[in-house]
Formats: sequence, C-alpha cells, structure tokens
Amino acid sequence: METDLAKASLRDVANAHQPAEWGRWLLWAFMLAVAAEFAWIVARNPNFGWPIVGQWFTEASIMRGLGVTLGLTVVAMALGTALGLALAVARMSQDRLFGTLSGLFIWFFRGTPLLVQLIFWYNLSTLFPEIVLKVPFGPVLATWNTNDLITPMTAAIAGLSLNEAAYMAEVIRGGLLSVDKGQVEATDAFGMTRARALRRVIIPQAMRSIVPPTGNQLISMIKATSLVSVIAMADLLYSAQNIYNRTFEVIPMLMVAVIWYLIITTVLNVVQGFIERYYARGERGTGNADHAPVRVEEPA
Amino acid sequence: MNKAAEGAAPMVRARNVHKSFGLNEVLKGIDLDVASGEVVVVLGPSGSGKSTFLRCINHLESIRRGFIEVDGEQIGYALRGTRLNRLSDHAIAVQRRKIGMVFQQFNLYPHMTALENIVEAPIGVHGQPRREAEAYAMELLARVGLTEKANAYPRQLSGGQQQRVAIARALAIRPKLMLFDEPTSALDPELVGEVLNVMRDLAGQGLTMIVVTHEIGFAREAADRVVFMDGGVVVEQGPPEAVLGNPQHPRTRLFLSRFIEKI
Ligand SMILES: Nc1ncnc2c1ncn2[C@@H]1O[C@H](COP(=O)(O)OP(=O)(O)OP(=O)(O)O)[C@@H](O)[C@H]1O
Ligand SMILES: [Mg+2]
Repeated sequence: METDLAKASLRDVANAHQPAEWGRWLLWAFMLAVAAEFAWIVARNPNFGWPIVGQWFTEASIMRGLGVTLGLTVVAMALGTALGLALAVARMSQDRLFGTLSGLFIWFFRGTPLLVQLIFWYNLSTLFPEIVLKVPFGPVLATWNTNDLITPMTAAIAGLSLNEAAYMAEVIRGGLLSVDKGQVEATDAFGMTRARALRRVIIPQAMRSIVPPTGNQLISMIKATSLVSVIAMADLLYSAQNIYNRTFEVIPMLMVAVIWYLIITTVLNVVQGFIERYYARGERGTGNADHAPVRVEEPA
Repeated sequence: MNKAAEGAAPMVRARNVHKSFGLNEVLKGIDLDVASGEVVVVLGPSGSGKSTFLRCINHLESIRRGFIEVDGEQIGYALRGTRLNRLSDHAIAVQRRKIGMVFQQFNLYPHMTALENIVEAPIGVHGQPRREAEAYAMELLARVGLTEKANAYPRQLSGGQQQRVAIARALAIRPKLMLFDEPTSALDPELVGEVLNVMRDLAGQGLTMIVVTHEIGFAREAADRVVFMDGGVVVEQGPPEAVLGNPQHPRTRLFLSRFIEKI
C-alpha cells in the first residue's frame, strides 16, 4: 500500500518530463543547412543581378506601380466583397426574383475569363456609345457618353470588382451555409430583423469559414491586377516590364516585382492570422490550457 | 388552479390548426386555449406534431388552415375589413417579440458570452439601454443560479448551464408567453433536475408557459393542464391528476404505460 502511494506520486503528471526528440532536432538542423546553402548560392549568383535589384527596388515608377497594384486590390476587393455579400444573401433568400438574378450574375462572371471581361469593359464604348438611364420602353431620365465614363482606371475597377463579387458571393454563401440552422431559428424566434440577425449572429459565425478562402481570393487578386496591363494601366508588374524593355535586365526587374509581391503576401498572411484568432473566440479551449504544464528538456 | 375556466381572454387561442409538410399532414385540426398565467404541458409520442405545433405558435412554421391568436392578435395575418392579409416579415418579427422560446438544442450564440447572449434581444430588438438590460440580465442569471458564469462562452458551460442561460435569454425580453420544446431532452440525466427546477420556479410565478416534454414528473407537479397529442390532434386534455392518473383514451393509456414501466 505504502509503495503504491509512492508510485502514485511518481506518476503525477505535474512532474512529467518531455523526452528530447533527437530525430526531430536533426531533421531541423538538416533543413536549415539546406536552406542556408540555397540562399547562399542564389545570393552569389551574378545572373540574378542583386545590385541592380537594389538599385531599382524603390525607384519612382516601381513605387507608382506598387501603389496602383495595392490601390486596385483594395478597391476591387472591397467593392467585390460588398457586392458578393449582397449576391450571397439574395441567392439564399426565399425570393425567386433576387435568387435568379444573383444566380445569373454569378454564372456569367465566373464563367468568362477575367481578361476578356477587362477588355470588354475597356472597349464598352464601341458596343454602347451612350449609356442611358430610362424607364423600360418609357422616357429617358439621363444620358452619359460612355467614353467619358470609361477610363483605364474605371474599366479596371469594374472588371476586377464584378468578377471578384461573383467569387466572393460563393465564398460568403458557403460561410452562411456553415452556420447551424438553429442559430437562424433563434434570431427569428426573438423577432430580430434579417439584417440584424445577419450582422450580429450569422455573419460573425460564418466568418470562421469565410476568412481563409477570402485570404486566398485577396492574394489571387493582387496577382490578377497584373492583367490590367492589357488596358494600359501601369501596375507593379507592368512598371517592371517597362523598365526591362529599355534595359534588358529581365531577371533583376522580375525579382523586384516578385519580392514586392512576396512582401505584400506576407503582411496579408499575418493580418489573416489575427483575424482568424479574433473569430475563433468562444471556441472550447481558447485562453485556458487544461492540461498540466510540461517541462521541456533542451538537448545539451 | 385551472385558470382556463376563469373566462378572461386567453393568452393563446388555436382553432382548427392544420399543417402539412408536402403530402404529410402533421397537424390535423388542433384546438387549444391557454389562459393567461396557465402552465400547459404537451405530451405525446415522437412524430405526433408537438414541436410543429409549438413552432406554429410563433410562426416559425406557417399553417395551412385555421388560425392562431396570441394575446389577442392573430399570428402572421391581419384582418382588414373582411380581407385577411399576410403580414410582412417585419410585422411578424414584431409579433414574436412578446413570445420567448427555449429550444431542445439551446441555440445559444456561441460567439457571445452568457451575458451578451441575454442582452442581445433587449438591446438590439427592444431598444433598451445597455446598462438597464445588463442589470436585468444579471438578475435573471441570479434567478437561474449562474451569476458567476456571466462572462463564460456557451462552450465553456455544461449542457444544463447552457439551457439555463437560454431560459434567461428568453426571459430577458419580458415575454407574455414562453414556449419550451423538450428543454431537457438533450441533457444528461443528472443535469435535467437543475433545468426543471428553474422551470418549476417560473411556473410558480404566474408566467404563461407551454412546455413540450417527456418529463411526466414535471407535468404532474408544475402543470395546470396536460394536453396529450397523437397523430396531429389533441386526443385528451385536463388537469394532470386526471390525464396522468386516470387517462380516458386508450392511446393516452398506451403512451403513459411506457413511462410507468420505466419508473
Ligand atoms: N421541416 C420539416 N419538413 C418535413 N417534415 C417535417 C418537418 N418538421 C417535422 N416534420 C415531420 O412532421 C412530423 C411531426 O414532427 P414533430 O417534430 O412536430 O414531432 P414531435 O411530436 O415534436 O416529435 P418528437 O417527440 O420526436 O420531437 C414528423 O413526421 C416529422 O417527420
Ligand atoms: Mg419535437
């Protein structure tokens, strides 16, 4: 009995040790060595032209291009998400008319290449020289000249955000579908309006499954903005190309663009992590570890 | 104790209520009055339409024939002269604001703490000032014995505690009528008692309640009236001692015999 008790105190998990995992440490060391050597080889390779990369990295036209890329991404993503939310809610509503319209929109804008959509918007004036606001088969209320409305900038924003809206609508709809039906029922039973139920109860819960694919969409969007060069918008990639068309330093200029794209993506990944943690609150186990602390043994 | 006989306008009046899901007719003409302050327990076998009827009362389901009135107002429709018009979604939402509901699966908002769950409707739907709503919420949490859990998230609570928070949440809108749909069926047996205790207190305080449950003991102690449903109709109803002690209808006897065997 005595010895049993002594054993019991030895078995108390509060005194547990974590055995050192030599295999894992070796693997880590090996991978770090491989990475270091690869970095060293790339850094010393003269074909990458690192001094040239450094020289052009913050050059004025590159910075303007970066501004265009970021600006287009933010604006198109914001408009696309707002419109996408409306489309998702319409598509899920009981209302036949709104459901059908939303379905048609998504079908068309996901079903045609973005490049074609951009060219179409840019050349809208050849199809419709005038844009007219009127009652169907009735009087005209207002008229605009299409050429005044469509600049490379507005064509780019229209093309990118309408296309994005179609994808975001499906991302958001997936999120809304992931919320337990009982939640909708509870908001109904308490007499909440649809809008308030969405804002306070449904969307906050849907966010957990909306955020990761939205991060994906955002990163695709940053790179999709490079398509706007076909309608004479000078984004980051286009600005880099402009320079190497003159200097023929193709690889260094592409490296400038690539490094900027990677910097933006890294920042976005960090932000996404914070957002995901925010929407994970209320999950079991957040904030309080419910197992005993374990002493980790550092290998000597 | 049977207030239905007092002659005042009933809190709930259901007449010839029919409801179908596709070709499946689930409610086949329900007539039921519930007096103000009365506690009605609805019993019946699985699939007899108890939940469906409860959900029709606050228009979570629409009915096909008949009508339902709560506190003198027809639910879901309004009579304009001789024409019966369907109400807008917003008007229906307004009607629901005096009816509290407690669900079998609790349906607490998982991203809000217990306190936030309780004040959500009073602040957002009834426009109460936050401070007032929170003070009343703390009072309700005290009533269900969970003062110290105000800042816990639903997933950090046991099933019984979650259901008590859900009851507090339903009470926070100061409902005239409370609907309970099998509030203890999702709970482990040892947690059932704490929830029934809270409900027994409410019953004693003069709240009008319609409770769907399989807890015969609760029906016996807390109900003013027991209603037995089967096959989408009310088969038998009356004071608990009559329906439970001396059931008249063979289907009621069959249903109750299963419980007596178990106990
Ligand atoms: N949304 C729905 N769609 C189709 N059929 C349904 C729906 N809800 C309920 N039913 C059907 O209606 C009938 C009555 O269901 P209801 O949930 O009202 O029974 P209940 O008496 O509450 O049973 P239980 O004791 O099992 O909860 C069942 O046959 C069920 O299959
Ligand atoms: Mg049921």
